[in-house]
Order: sequence, then C-alpha cells, then structure tokens
Amino acid sequence: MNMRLKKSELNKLLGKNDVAPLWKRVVAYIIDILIINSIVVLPFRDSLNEIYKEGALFNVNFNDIKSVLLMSVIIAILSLIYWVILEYKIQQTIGKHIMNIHVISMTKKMDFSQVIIRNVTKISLPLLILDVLYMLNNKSQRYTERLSNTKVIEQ
Amino acid sequence: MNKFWFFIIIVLSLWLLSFLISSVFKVEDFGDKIAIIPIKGVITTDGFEDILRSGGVSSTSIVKSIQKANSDSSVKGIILEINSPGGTVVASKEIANEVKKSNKPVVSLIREVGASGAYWIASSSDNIVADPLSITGSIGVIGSYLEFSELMEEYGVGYERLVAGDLKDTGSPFKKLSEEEKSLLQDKLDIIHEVFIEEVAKNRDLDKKEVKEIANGFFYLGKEAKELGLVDELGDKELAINITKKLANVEDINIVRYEEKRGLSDLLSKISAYSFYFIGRGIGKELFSLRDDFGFIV
Repeated sequence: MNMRLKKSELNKLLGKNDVAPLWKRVVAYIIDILIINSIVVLPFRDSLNEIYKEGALFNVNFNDIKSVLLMSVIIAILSLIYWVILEYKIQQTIGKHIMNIHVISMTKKMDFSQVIIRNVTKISLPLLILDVLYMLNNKSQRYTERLSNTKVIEQ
Repeated sequence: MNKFWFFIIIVLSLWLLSFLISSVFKVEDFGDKIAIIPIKGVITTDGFEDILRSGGVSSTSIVKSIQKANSDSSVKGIILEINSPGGTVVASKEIANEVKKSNKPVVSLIREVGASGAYWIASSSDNIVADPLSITGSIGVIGSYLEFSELMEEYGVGYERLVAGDLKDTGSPFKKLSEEEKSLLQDKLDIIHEVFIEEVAKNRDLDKKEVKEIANGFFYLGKEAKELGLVDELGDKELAINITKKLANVEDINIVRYEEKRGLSDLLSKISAYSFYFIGRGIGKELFSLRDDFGFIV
C-alpha cells in the first residue's frame, strides 16, 4: 500500500504551513482590486470625468494636478483601510478568502503595525512591483512581508 | 462575527465613506475657474418646451447662472457659449443687462448661430469670438404671424368679433389687419428696432448711424461681421478661453459648465408625454379614417 503523504498533508501533521503559491496570491489581488475599484474608485468617477472631459490630458494645469493628487491620496488611504482592517481582524481579504489563503505573523500574534507595513506598497503600483520583485530572491515573501515578519499561507 | 457579514460590513462602510467623501469633493473647488454658460436655442423668459421638443433657453436661468458665477470668488471669468437664433425682446434684454452688470470679464463665443436677440446679448459682453462661418448679426425685429381668415371662410368657420376697445383683437390670426392696425404694430417694431440699434452701438462702441445702415435684419457671416466691427475675433472655444484668461489675468484655470441638469423624472415625464401624444395622434387618425369611410365621426 502506498503510504506516501503529500507535502501539504505532511506539513499539516507537523504543524507547518504551506506558503501560498504566487498564482493564488495574484488572483486574490486581482479580485481585491476589482472590489476596491467598485467601492472606492467608482464614487469618484464624476470628479475624474470632470477633469478629463475638458481635454485636461492635453492641457494639464496646476489645479487639475492638485485635485488629481488629492483624489489619489484619498483613494489610496481608503484602499489601504480595506486591506489593513480585513487582514488585521480576520487575516484575509475577500480575494484571499476566495483563494483559500491567509496571512500569518511569523513571530507573535499579528499587530496593527505589521499589517500596515505589509500593505503599504499597495497604495502605488510601482512600489508594489518593486516589493514583489524581491520575491525573485525570496520566493515566499515580498520585501514588506519580510520587514513585517508576515507571510501568506495556504489554509 | 461570521466572516461573510464582516466582509459585507467592511465593503458597505468603505463604499459609504467613499461616496460621502466624493460627494463633498468637487474638482472645481480647486483654484481659479472660468464659467461656461451655454445659451442654446430660442431665448424666452421661461424657456421653451413642448411635448416633442425641449429646447430653448430661459433668461431666468441664464441670469441666475451669471449671478452665481459673479458671486463665486473663484470664478475669474465667464464665457457665454452662444448657439441661438435669438428670442423674445425682453428675455434677450434681461440677459444683456445682467452681462453688463457682471463684475468679471465676459466673453461671448458664437459657434453656429448668434443672431438677433442672441447677438444683442453677445454685444453686451467684453469680447466676442465667432466662428468665421457662423451666422451672426441679424439686427432686426420680427412680428410676423400666420393669418388664416380665408382658410376659415373656406371651411365655413366664422369669426364673431366681440371687443370693447376697437383695437383689442389686433394681431388675431382669425382676421385681416386693418391699415391702422398694421401701422400701429409697425410702429412698435420700429421702436424695438431703434432700441436694439442703440444698444448694439453703445455696447460695441460704434456709431449709431453705422449700425443703422447694417441693421437691416439680414445676417452676416462671422468673417463679414468682423469687418463690420460686430465681432472682435474669429476663432473657437480655445481662443475664447485664452481671451478670458487674459482679461481675467489668470494662468491656470478649471473650466466649469453652468448647465441645468435633467434628472430621471424629466426623462420619464418626457417619455410619457411622447406616448400620450402618439396615442392621441393614433386615435385622431382613426377618427379621420372613419369619417372618410362612413362620412361621420363616432
């Protein structure tokens, strides 16, 4: 009889956690971004249209830049709230819940600062890309995940 | 708490928060602005709307928009985006007077048409920009109407004239004008024409005689109007914005449109008006066909 256990089953028995595969994390992120777009970005649609309808793309002025910047900051903060509250309270966002993955602290019970640090790069795509590029060296963690001593595992 | 309900609460709270912030947040609140006030269609005091068309512009709402722009300290200039063949004398005069009272530079942009009453309004602004091929001028007054007394006679319909005051029914479409009535009406039109000419001459700083010569009621193309001194510049919206910026002495501005927004109820009432109109038309058509077929209406 074949008694060989799968790696994930063995880890479970040993109390170890499997690091969540990258594709699951990417899908979870896309789901979360879609949700954030609908609940956070969509209400600002009229204001954004107001800026672009007068051809501001070709005729950018200082006032438009100011309003776009302020809107971006508001949207970024609201998006951060989504990730931080959900991961702090239940260690999962909706995307992560659907993909059956969750966040854990590698040291102690997860505190608020850890959740903020691990999510801070999500306010800007270039920062997030740099953060993810760190995974080329360390396959299990983004740079901010290493800083915050957290990682994403499969349930 | 169940995870599902926690997700729902977070999503709803964030949506509510974003909605509240976005409703307070207005792009135009930032920095200096130029207000564009569109004047489209026939100008009357209360607007023009029937069951098939909603068009025209009300002088009441335009005056309100000009006042709103004037009371907003961040609005540095006003552009009247004109696309109108004119309208009633009083409505045009009301807007022209409000433009003259404005404490901010007002530039008129004549796109396709800015004729008659609409030109009166434009003349009261600080600068007029017109498309070279636009229709403008038409400094004249019209009081023509359809008179169908002969048609009524043909159908055996009579006009029982009951008046106290011999000229009370002057202008009634059911009778022909007498020579006296015609001359009285012509006098009124001449008075209005004279006021129109005076206003244009004063507003445009032109000699009254010169204006009188060109005020035959015919329209001029933007190009011709520039040569006659009726408009200042030939160009488009961009030029109008640049001129307003220059007159207001500002560099960076936001453009805001002061336009009446139509809601869902307006749309629904229009749809129902359409439906009732066509139902009525259908019934009428059927009744006529019955009459044609049987010689009577049931």
